[in-house]
Amino acid sequence: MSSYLAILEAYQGEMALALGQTLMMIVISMSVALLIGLPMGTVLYLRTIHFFHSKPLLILSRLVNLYVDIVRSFPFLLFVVSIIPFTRFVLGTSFGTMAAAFPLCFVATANYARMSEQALLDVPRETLELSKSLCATTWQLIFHFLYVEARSGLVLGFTTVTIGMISYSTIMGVVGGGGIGDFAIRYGYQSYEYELMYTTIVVMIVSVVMIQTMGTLLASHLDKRKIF
Amino acid sequence: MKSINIEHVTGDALNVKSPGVISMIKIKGVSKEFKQKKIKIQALRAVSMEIRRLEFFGIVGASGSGKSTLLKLINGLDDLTAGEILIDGDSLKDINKKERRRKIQTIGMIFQQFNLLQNLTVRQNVGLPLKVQGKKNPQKVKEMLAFVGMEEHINNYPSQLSGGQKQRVAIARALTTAPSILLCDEPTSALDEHNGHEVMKLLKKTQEEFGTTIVFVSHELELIKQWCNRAAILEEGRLLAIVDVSKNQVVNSETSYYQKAMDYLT
Repeated sequence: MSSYLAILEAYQGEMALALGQTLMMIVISMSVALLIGLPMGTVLYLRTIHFFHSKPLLILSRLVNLYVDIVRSFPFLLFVVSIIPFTRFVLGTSFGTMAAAFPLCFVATANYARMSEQALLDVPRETLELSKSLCATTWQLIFHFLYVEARSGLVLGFTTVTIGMISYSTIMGVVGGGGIGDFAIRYGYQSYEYELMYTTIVVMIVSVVMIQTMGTLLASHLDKRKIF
Repeated sequence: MKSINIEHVTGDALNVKSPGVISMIKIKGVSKEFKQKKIKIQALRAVSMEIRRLEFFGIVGASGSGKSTLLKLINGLDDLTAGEILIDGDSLKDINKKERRRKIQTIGMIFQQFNLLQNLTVRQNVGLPLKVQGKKNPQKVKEMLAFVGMEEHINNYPSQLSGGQKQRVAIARALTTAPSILLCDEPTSALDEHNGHEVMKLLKKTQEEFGTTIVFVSHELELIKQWCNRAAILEEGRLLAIVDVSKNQVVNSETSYYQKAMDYLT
């Protein structure tokens, strides 16, 4: 136990930096997922319930569906490598934590779009019927009815995607993104410091459990469907 | 042979005008066709009727007769395949989108499954129609909750209420915008007899106190007989008759729903 603590003390600066890099990648990618993935998921949901009648909206919803399917089926490592020219074009570099967050944004957006579509599909049809009978506009339907009733599912979906992104971020060392996973491999596995590697894994497990617990607590706080 | 006052029965040459009576809803030759897995289903066939102002009007029929479809068409929840519906003299298809929205917002609706938002409190649910119309009137919300006897549950969530209480909240919600018409889609069928009776009393009180025209859909002949002034009998999408509901006791029963309804209601 003391040897583990000694390792932690010895590498605390590097580990703190790696945790900061992971945090940065997650915050950036999940912010983008919330801002773009949620509207995308809403479009996918409205497409599923045959809400769209105009041709431009139908085309848009098909494109969103295609984007989500392609990105989600792409092997992640290949995806990161294949969009390097685009990353360089947008950010001016393909190396570093920001460059690593860039492909993560695409994956987080696609995953959260599908998750939010699933959460919205759990909203009872009666809610749609009510919004229609009250002559709610499309924006009102989304913000006053759908998001209100699906909010706990949306939070749980967000939590799941966040944890998935932590897992994805571990391989971002490929483009010099750093992060806690990269730290465990370089300082632990490749340097034969297995104790450091296992310590880092424990830190990651604790982080994931904390995120999941917070997500579950928030979701159950927001869910008023069953109060006893 | 019993003497029956049948106002009119469906047909192409149906005259829906009743001289001297102020009509609230006019339904002219309305048809509705659905497509389910490429199979056409004729839910309504050239239905015409007139619902008068301040009336407690029943629409009765067996399952699949088209009564709920008709209610949804009146409220603009669905589009007509043919025909026309006039609300207070205005055809819903002749007016622009904004005007149509304004017109439909003068119609309140209550549902079989209450359709309350589970994540909103009673106060928020009742205030929802006002929110959709861009209005804020907390006093009105409180007044309506007092009207239905639910003011003490204002901060509760629907999951904390019984079925009868949920329907009361739904009625309060429908009344916040002071609708001239209240459409009721089998509002008592998910309730026990006692709660169903309480809801019906509340609807009657609504009609009397606010001058609301009530259109009440049900398959329960007893309720139609007890509460409605007139009733339309539907069968397989066809309007068979509109009858003045008599309060006489009926002992005879026939095999078909139509015969039973005619005997029972008249």
